[in-house]
Amino acid sequence: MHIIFLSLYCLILVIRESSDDGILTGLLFGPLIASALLYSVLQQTQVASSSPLPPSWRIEPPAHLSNSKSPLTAIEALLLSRYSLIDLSTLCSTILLFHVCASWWFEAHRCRHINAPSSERYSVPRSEVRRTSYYVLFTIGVSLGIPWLRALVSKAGWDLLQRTFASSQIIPVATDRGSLLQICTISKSSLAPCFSSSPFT
Amino acid sequence: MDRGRSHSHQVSNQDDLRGRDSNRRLSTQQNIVSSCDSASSGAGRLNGRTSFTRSRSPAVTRLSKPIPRSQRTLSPSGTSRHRPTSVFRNILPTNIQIHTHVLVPLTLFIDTRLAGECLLLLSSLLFVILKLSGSYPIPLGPPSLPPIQPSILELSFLVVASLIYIIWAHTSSSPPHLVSPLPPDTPTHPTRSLEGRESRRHSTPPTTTSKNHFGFIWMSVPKNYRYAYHIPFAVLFNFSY
Repeated sequence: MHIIFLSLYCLILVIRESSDDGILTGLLFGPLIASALLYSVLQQTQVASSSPLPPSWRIEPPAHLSNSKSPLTAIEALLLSRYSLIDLSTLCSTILLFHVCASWWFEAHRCRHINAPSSERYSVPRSEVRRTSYYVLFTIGVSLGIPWLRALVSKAGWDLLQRTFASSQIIPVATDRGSLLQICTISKSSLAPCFSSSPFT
Repeated sequence: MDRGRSHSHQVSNQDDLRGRDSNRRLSTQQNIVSSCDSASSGAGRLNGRTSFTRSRSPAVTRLSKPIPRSQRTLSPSGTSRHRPTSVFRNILPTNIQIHTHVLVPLTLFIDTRLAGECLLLLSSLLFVILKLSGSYPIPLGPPSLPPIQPSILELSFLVVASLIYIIWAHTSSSPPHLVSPLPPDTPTHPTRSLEGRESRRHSTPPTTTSKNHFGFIWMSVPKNYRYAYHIPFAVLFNFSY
């Protein structure tokens, strides 16, 4: 099944040129990979006494902290990291959606007021200082807007974005390669201040 | 380099001869054409040497003229290599256009490849959500904490938001006027030629539609984007672009 999906995807990508902006791939591909990784671990947990390590690996078991009250096993830590990977990937996709929608809105807003050449974007100023200031303002807005959205959703009683901030506590305990990749992606998409200032629950 | 100088000399000769009588100009142009033909045949004889140079001198551009039959028989593999690609690229239409009438006349205009990619990604994610929804909550950590479950709701919201975005971004009330998305001289196979690379580098997404379907990241401009041009070939077969 996965091979059929993958071959169809490659066929569609190869078949002709297009002016794809890559938004859809950026929105859906990360959560898709994270979900597939979680599903593989869930399949692994159903097998009794299974180890997440390949059978040919000869390495020592993971170390536990001395003051830990209930240390997780290796498979549980892996499962937890995959859960957090899904949360982070959905958070990244939400931020990407914010980026695109804000860009649409700002372009439509500026289009009415500024007379610029038709080949340029109205919303992007030519001055580097103004462009950087807009970027910083948007960073601060997203950093404040995501916790606000989380509080709003929590008040409405929905289970959305609730574990995302707690997952940043989990990552140092159960580090996954994908989680590190997601952290790099988030810091690139200017959400690092959000993690440093958010109230962890 | 010598060939380039001789070509510029011929062009200047042609410019100088503009004021003279037409018969003489015609004969001069015939001489130029014949000299070009002889140069191209000479270049054909030196084909093994010129094919390795990637310069943009006029002597190389003369090679892009129709190749004589005698020369074509010498290298049939180079011409027959492009035929299956051109046939293969015309299987699907470039764009899909659907007209609907919901309160106002609406037109959904979407690229075929983007539509296929959207369909595959959404169906794959829905398939994974369906698989994950059957999993039971697993208790992790201390018993006081509630068992955790995969965030099915977030993934479902993401699927719905993506679907709404893609329909909204590609729907307009008037039929779009789309220009050709690629420059006409773009090579049709992933060669490492300098001109193809430059044309891909300087190409920008089409912006002359009635509604621009292209979504931008905050404070990014069209020159920050490239065409999705056979990148999977480069990824799968480790070509260096």
